[in-house]
Amino acid sequence: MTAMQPAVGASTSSDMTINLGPQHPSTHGVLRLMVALDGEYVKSCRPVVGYLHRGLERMMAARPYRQSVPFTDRLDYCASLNSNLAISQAIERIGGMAVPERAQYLRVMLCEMNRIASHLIFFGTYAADIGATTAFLYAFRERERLLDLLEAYTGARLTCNWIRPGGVASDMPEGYAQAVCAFLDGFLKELDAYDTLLTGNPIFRVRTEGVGIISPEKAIAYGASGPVLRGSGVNIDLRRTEPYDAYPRTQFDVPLRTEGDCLARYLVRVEEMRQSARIIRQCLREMPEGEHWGKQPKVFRPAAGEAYSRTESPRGELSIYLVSDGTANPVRVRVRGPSFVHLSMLPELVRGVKVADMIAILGSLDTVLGEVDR
Amino acid sequence: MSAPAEAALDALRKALGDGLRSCALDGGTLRLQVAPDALHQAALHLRDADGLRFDYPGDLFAWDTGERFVVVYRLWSTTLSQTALLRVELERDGAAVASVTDIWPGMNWHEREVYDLYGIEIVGHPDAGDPTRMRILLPKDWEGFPFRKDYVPVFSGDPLHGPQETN
Amino acid sequence: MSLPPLRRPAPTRTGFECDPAFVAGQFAAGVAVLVAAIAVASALPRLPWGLVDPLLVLIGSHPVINALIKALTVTVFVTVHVIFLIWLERKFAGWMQARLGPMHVGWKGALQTIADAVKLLMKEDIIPTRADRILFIAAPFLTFMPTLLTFMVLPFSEKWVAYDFPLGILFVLAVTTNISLGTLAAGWGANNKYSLLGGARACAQVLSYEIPMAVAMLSVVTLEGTMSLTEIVKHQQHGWNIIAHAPVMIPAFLIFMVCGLAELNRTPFDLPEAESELVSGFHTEYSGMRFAFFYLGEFAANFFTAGLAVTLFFGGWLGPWLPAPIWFGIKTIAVVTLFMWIKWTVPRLRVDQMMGFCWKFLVPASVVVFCATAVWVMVAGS
Repeated sequence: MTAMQPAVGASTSSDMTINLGPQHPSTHGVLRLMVALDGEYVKSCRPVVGYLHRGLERMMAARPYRQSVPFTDRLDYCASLNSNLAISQAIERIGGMAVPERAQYLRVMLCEMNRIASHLIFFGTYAADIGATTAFLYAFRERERLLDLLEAYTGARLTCNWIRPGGVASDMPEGYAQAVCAFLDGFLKELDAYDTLLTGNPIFRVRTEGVGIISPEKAIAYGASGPVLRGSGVNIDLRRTEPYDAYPRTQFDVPLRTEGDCLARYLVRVEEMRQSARIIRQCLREMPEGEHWGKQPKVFRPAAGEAYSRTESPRGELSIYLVSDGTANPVRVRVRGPSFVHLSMLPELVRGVKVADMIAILGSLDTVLGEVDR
Repeated sequence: MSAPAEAALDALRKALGDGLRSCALDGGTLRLQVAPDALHQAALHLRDADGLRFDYPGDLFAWDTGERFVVVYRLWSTTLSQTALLRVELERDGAAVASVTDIWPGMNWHEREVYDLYGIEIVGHPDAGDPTRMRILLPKDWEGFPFRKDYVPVFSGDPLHGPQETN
Repeated sequence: MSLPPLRRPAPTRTGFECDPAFVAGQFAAGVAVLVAAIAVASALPRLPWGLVDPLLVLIGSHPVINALIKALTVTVFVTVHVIFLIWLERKFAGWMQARLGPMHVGWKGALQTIADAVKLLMKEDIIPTRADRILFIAAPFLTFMPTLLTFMVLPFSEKWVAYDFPLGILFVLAVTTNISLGTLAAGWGANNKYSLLGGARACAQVLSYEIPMAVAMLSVVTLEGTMSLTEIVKHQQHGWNIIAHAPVMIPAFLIFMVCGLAELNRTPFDLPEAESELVSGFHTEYSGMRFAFFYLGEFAANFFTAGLAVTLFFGGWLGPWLPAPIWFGIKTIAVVTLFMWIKWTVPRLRVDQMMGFCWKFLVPASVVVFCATAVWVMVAGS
C-alpha cells in the first residue's frame, strides 16, 4: 500500500499518513487508526481492527451452551458481568429456563456495579485523553474499591463469570449489602468532587463542547446505542424499552442529552453512574428471600430454533443470537457488541477535525477492543 | 400489528411477488424470508414504509447450515419499538448478497465481517471487490473463510511468524 | 458464608481529605534541602580561607578562569537543583493524585532521581537509522544550552549573580527564544511523524507566547526604568512590584505566568508532547542521556521562569531575617509549586485554542497592560 509509506523523508506532499496504534497511548487497546493528516487536520481515518480476534463466536459454538459463559468475560473485559448476563439470557430463552426472583435482583445489582466500574474507566481514560492525568487516578482509585467488592463476591476482579444460565453462581456473602452501601455512600461523594474537578473545568468544556456531534438521525442509522445514542437525544435504553430481569421493578431515570457532542456523551455516563447507584440500593432493599438458582436440566439440549437477547451493557446494546439445531452445541453464537458499531462511525465523525479532536471523539465513543474483535 | 403495518406488508407482498418467501408475525417479532435478489428492495421497504419504519440496524450475521448459508438482518424500529428478522438463504457456490450499507450505514462493518468469516460476496459494498479492504477481523492475506463448515486451516509456514499484518 | 476479607485494606487517605502534616512535611523537606545547600554555600566565605584567599583572588581575577569558575558553578547548580525539582514534582503529583510517589530509594524516595539518572546513563544510545544524525544529536544540547545561559543573569542575591548584565531582560528574551530551535531540530531530525508534529507545535507555541511574555516583562522595565535584573530587585526595597503597583503588575504577572506555562510546555499547554495524541511529541525517539538532557532543560527552565517571576514581581532576594539567597530560593520554589499545581489539575488545550488564546487575548491584553503601566508611571511620577 503506497499510502502507508512514511511521508516525512519524501516530503513531496503536504499530506502525511500516520499510524496511531496498535501501540499508542490513546487507543485503549490494540486498535490501529490509519490517519491521513494535512497538518493538524484529519483528512481521512481508517480504523484497523482484529488484533484481538480470538474467534470467540466459533469457540462458543464448538461446546455445550452453558460452557460459553466464561468466553463472554473476554468480550467486554471492563464489564464482564453484563456480557455474562447477555449470554445467560439468550440461553435461558432458547431453553425456556426460569430465573428465580432473587437471582434477578442479584443480577441487576451485579450488572449495575459493573456498569459503574466500566464508566469509571471511561471517566479516567477520557480525562487522560483530554490531558488531565489526575482525574484518571481518582477514577481508578474508586474502581479499585468496587473491584474489591466484586472480588469479595465473585472471586474475580475482571473476568467474574458469575451470572450463569438460570441464575447466579451463589448468593451474596454475609454482610455484603452493608459493604456495598458503604461503598456507594463514599462513591457518590467522590463523584461530586470529580464533577467539580473535570466537568466544570473550562478547558475540559472547550475541548469537548461541540466536538464530534452526532445527529439523532445519524446515530440511529448507524445503529449507535447506549450513552452514544442517548447523548444525541434519542431516549432509548433497553432497560426501559425492552426491560429484563428486575429492571421493570426498579425506579431510575434515563439520562438524556440533546447536544450529541463529546460532552453530552460524557455527561450521560457520569449521570448513569448516579442512577446505577440508585438501582443498586433499590435492589439491596427490595431483594426477596429465596433461591439464587433455578432448576436446570442435567443435559441441556434445546429444541431446534433461534433465540436472542438484547441487553444494555455500559457501552450500549449488547445482544447475543443463538441458533440451535437440537443438539447439545449451538450452530451459531453471534455477539453484536456496541463498540464494534460505534467504532465503525469513527471515520465519518473525524473527517476534517483536528488530531486532538479525533482523540477526544474516539475516547467519547468508549470502545473496548475485546468486544470489537471478539 | 397495526393497520398501517398490515397495509405495508401487503404492499411488500405485491411488490416482491415470489421474492417474499415467507412472512409471519411471531410474538411481536416480524419474521420475513426473501429471495437473495429481492433483498435490497425489501430492506428499503422495511425501513421506509409507514407502520414498519425499521430504521435501526440491529445486527447482521450469517451461519452455515452445512448445505447453505443463512444471512439474518435483525432490524428494529426506534419509533414503534418492534423487531424484524429478515432472512436470506444462499447457495454455497458463489454466495452473494446485495449490500444494505446505503440503507443503514451501520451495516457496513457487519457486512465486511460476513465476508471475512463466510466469504459471502457483498455486492455494492463500498469496499466490495477488494479482499484486502473487505477483511476486517482477519489479516488481509488470510486464506479461506474460517466460519464455514468446510474450512480447513492452511498454515503457510511458521505460525508464529506468519502473516502479522491485518488489513 | 461470610464476607471474605478484602485483598488489601481499603485506602484510607484520598486526595480530597488531604493530610496537612504530610503535605507540610514534604514541602518542608524540599525547602530544607535547598536551604541547607544554600546555607552551606553562604558559610563558605566565613571559613578560614586566609591562606588560600590571595591565591583565589589571583586566579579569580584572571578573566578566563573567572568565567570558567562561574560557568562551572552555574552548571553544577542547575544539574543539582533539577534532581531536587524532579523529586519535588513527583512527590507533589503523588500527593495530588492520592498516591505516594517515589518511596524506595533513599528517605521518601529522595535519591530516586539520582537512581534514574544513573539508569539513563547506562542505557543504550539509540539513534534511528533514518534520522538526521547531526540535528538529532545536536537537539538536546540546543534545548539545554539556552536554559543554562539564562542562569547567568539570574540574581540569587545582590552578589550572587554570575554576570550582572545591564541588559539582563533583553538577554533573557534573546536566549530563551533559541529553545524552540532545539525542539524544532528534535522534531525534524528524528524523522518520526509524531516528533515532527510535536516540533511544529512547540515552535509555533513558543514563538507566539514569547510576544505577550516580552510585553509583560517590558511593563516591568517601564515601571523600573532599567533592564538589569539586579537593579529591578533593588528598586523593590520599599515594596514588591506586585503589591506596590498592584493595579498594573497583577495583570502583568498573570500574563507572565500563563506565557511561562506555555514556554515551559506544561499543561494546559503541553501540546508539543501531548501524550494521548503524539505519544511523546518532539522527544518520542530519544532515550538515555539524550532524553535526560531534554528533561534537565525542562526542569531548569521551570526554575528559571519561576525565578524570573520572583525577580520581576516578588522582590527577588529581598526579605527580612534570612539570608538573601534563601529568600530567593523559598519564593522560587513556591512559584515552581504553583506551576506543578496547575499542571496536575487542568486538561490540555487544542492547538487552535492555544493559538487563539495567545493572539486574540494575551497579545492585546499585554499591550493594554503595557500602556496602562506607562500611564501609571506618569501619574505616580508626577
